[in-house]
Amino acid sequence: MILLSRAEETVLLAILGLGENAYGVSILEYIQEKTGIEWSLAQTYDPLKKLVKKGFVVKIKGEPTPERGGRAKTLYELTKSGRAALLEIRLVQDSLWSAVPKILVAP
Amino acid sequence: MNGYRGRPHTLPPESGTRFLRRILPEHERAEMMGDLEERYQAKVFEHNKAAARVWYWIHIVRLLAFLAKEHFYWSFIMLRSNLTAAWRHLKRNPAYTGLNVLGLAVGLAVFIVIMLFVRTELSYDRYHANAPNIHRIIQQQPGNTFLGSNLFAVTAAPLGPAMVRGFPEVLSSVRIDDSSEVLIGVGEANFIIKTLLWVDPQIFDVFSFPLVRGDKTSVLNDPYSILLSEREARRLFGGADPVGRTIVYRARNGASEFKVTGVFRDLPSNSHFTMDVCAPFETMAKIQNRNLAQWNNHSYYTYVLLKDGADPRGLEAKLPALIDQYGADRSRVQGEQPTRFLLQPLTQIHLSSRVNFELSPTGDSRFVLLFASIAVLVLIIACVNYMNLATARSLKRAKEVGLRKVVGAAKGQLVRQFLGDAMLQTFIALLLAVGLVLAVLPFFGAFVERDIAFNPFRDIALMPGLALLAAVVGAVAGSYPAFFVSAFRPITALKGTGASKSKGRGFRNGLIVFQFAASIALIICTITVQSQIRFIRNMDMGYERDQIVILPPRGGIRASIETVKTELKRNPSVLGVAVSSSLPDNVDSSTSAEWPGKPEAVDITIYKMDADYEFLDIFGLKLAQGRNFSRDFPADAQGAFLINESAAKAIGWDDPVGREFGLGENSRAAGRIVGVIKDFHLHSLHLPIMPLYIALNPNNFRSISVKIRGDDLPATLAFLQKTWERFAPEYPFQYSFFDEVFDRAYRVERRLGTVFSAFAGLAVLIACLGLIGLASFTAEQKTKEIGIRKVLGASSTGIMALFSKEFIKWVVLANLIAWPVGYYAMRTWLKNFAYRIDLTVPMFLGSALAVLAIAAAVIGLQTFRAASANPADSLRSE
Repeated sequence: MILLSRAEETVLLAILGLGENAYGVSILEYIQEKTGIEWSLAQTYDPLKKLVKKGFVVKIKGEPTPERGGRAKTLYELTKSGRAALLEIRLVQDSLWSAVPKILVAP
Repeated sequence: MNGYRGRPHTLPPESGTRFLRRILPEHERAEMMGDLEERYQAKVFEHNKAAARVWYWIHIVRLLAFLAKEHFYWSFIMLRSNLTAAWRHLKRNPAYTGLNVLGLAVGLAVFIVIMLFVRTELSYDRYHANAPNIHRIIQQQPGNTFLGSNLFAVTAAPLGPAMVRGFPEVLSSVRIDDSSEVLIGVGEANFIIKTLLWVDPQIFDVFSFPLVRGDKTSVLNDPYSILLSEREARRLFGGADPVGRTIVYRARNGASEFKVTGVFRDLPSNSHFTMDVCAPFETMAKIQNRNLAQWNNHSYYTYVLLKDGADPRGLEAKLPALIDQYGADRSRVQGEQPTRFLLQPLTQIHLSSRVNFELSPTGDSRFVLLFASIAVLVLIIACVNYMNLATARSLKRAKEVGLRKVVGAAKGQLVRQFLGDAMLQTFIALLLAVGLVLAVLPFFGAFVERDIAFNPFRDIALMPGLALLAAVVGAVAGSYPAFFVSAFRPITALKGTGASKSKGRGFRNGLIVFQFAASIALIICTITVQSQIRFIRNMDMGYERDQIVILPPRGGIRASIETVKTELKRNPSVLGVAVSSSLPDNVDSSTSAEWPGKPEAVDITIYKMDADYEFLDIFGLKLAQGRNFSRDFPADAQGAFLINESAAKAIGWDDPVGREFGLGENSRAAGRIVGVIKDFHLHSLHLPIMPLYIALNPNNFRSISVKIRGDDLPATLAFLQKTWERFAPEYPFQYSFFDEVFDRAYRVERRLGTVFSAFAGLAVLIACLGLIGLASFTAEQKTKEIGIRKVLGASSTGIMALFSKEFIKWVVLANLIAWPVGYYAMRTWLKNFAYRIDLTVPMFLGSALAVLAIAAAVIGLQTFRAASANPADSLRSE
């Protein structure tokens, strides 16, 4: 099984959810929106770097925007193995959850 | 410009942006700075500009922490991996590691010991708070060359006070006069004080001599006050409080009472003079009936304290006018420049030798320089040794390097790895070296006669120095192997031993040549210095020096010298007794030769001494003409002289006997010359033989020379002691043997001889360590070649010869480099002696053969095993 930290999994899911506009700030805002927790940029970069190293995401140079002071975005995109990793995690999680008594599921 | 959600764009703080631009890695700069700026817009929108700025800065710090953590994490992982590899490599080759570390440790230890010595030498007198502003006034008297130098440390008593009065930049002056070996009484007991200094009271303001008891402004105000060092206070009074106690100073012409008013801390050993006890300068004049207003009595040491920023050279220029103002005569020798007065910085006194009449023996800057050069040389040899062994061995690690390269190691990483390797070994060597230093330092300190302190844990300043030393040595020693190894091509390297066998051989051989050249040069120096010392010892000095005991005339001995002589001669073991103002090996007083009718323009420096009738016989001095002083000629007692051949020649007399010599009262001659003595060496062999006269004067003497029979020394010495105790009961018995006194004059040379022997030995040792490593390595590499040769009929000796030839070639080449270097260095050194040996071919051949023999033995031993191995074993594996 592929080992991913919780932060890496969250970031991977965020990139997947954001589609073609996944970069530092948008990932951070997406996570804040979904979980209510505001990460610092450094906290976002850490899992991103590890994911790049593991080959689950790739960096793509994006367009510059004015609010970035004219600097180019660095977009992140899931690779094939990234998708496979997420899928595997999902399957493992599902099979684990299916064995849990119904009582523990949220009312 | 459109900003965040339609609002105008707000620039984040300029300083933050600039900072980020500088520190962020380029490939991440746009992403991170962009993200941060974009978020900043959101913060300005959500809160306000001030809060956003705080947020911005907080996030810069968090970003930095993140980057730093990441950076160090990976460096640490790599470092750990490299250290593990290095450690495993070391463990796998204990013999090789041992040779390497040992070589480095010896080199480092030598370097540390010598640098500690150099540090001690340079630290002299620097502990004074006023050190940069304290100068000693010295004189240069052109034409008056005494013992090879025309500089004199002594000046007239009024000079210091006159300078303070005359020049505003001179804040204070201190005059010092010394009395050595003085007798003092405390109650019933008598003590000898080694050094009593008569000093001006300002001494405690000018110099930093802290007082343990007493107030520095008033301790020496009373003319009969006296101060003790802590050591002397303990010796004289035990645990009791010395302040207020009475000390009786016994001079030749009566006793005076002094009161102890204070105690000063013992002078640090890095002071250019020693002081056990001190008392007021002016009191000395009173006791010894001296006139301190005289400008022509140059017998005192003068130190001045200058204002901050004062110009010592400018002051020097003003001195002649000041001295003329007091009507003092500055001319010394006719036809020469008048005396010059110079300001010598306090901190330079210790290492500037060649000033006459120093308070204590000084160091020698040439000696320090020589030591330092040897230290650096030995360290370089050790580094070279490491390079050599590591490079040779690296062929063995070719596979490891190849594999590392294949899996993606960059060249820089490999360089770092092998440098790390060297560093690791250097640090292990450093630990060993510190141990060696601690073990050796007491002996070395005694040898160079210095207190050298070394406590690596307490001496904080030393720790970074040592670490830096190890780092530099590691870097230097590791640099060549590192670049050599990292340049391996993975394919050839992985194929195995075939990899770049001949590569780097030239460089390695160059290193061997260097090592041996240095060793041979040091051996040449050793042989030369030792030969010169032997030459001095065996040289006929013109006088005898065996079985002569020297006694100082203490206490009642001086007054009743004739009785003492008679008493001594009663013992059949005593062959004769003589008194003289100097001993023949060091006549330390000179004047201008005078005789009635001497032309004005003639000025001949002549050394002089006083002696009695027996002096010539005791020391076996030979006469060339005339006769010795004799009681059979009553006129001798009125004034008689002996001169040496050099004096006769300098004056130009062929028949000096019977001539009038010297000038007494009313321009009448002081006496007649009764004989001419054959030239003997009245100084050490550094100086040529100078003109000398001996005046008959049995009442002026500084030593009593007793010629004894050599058969029962203890009994004779016991007899001398008994006689001493009869005449000088208050003084402890003191004696020395003349041949030992004589030897002491060449202490520096003998020390040099020992230094060269020791370091030449070390250099050869280290070079041999390298040779052992290389020879065994080559033998190992060529196991198969040896096997094949043996199968084809080569003998073991033939193979050993084959191997040795290669190394011997380099040792021979090393000789060609070492010879001119050694020749030049030793010729320069020998020029210090007026009488010296010649540098001869056997000395050079001898050193060459010695090194060659050692090298051949080392190589032979190492290759013997390989050469005698059964070829069946070495060829079997494939």
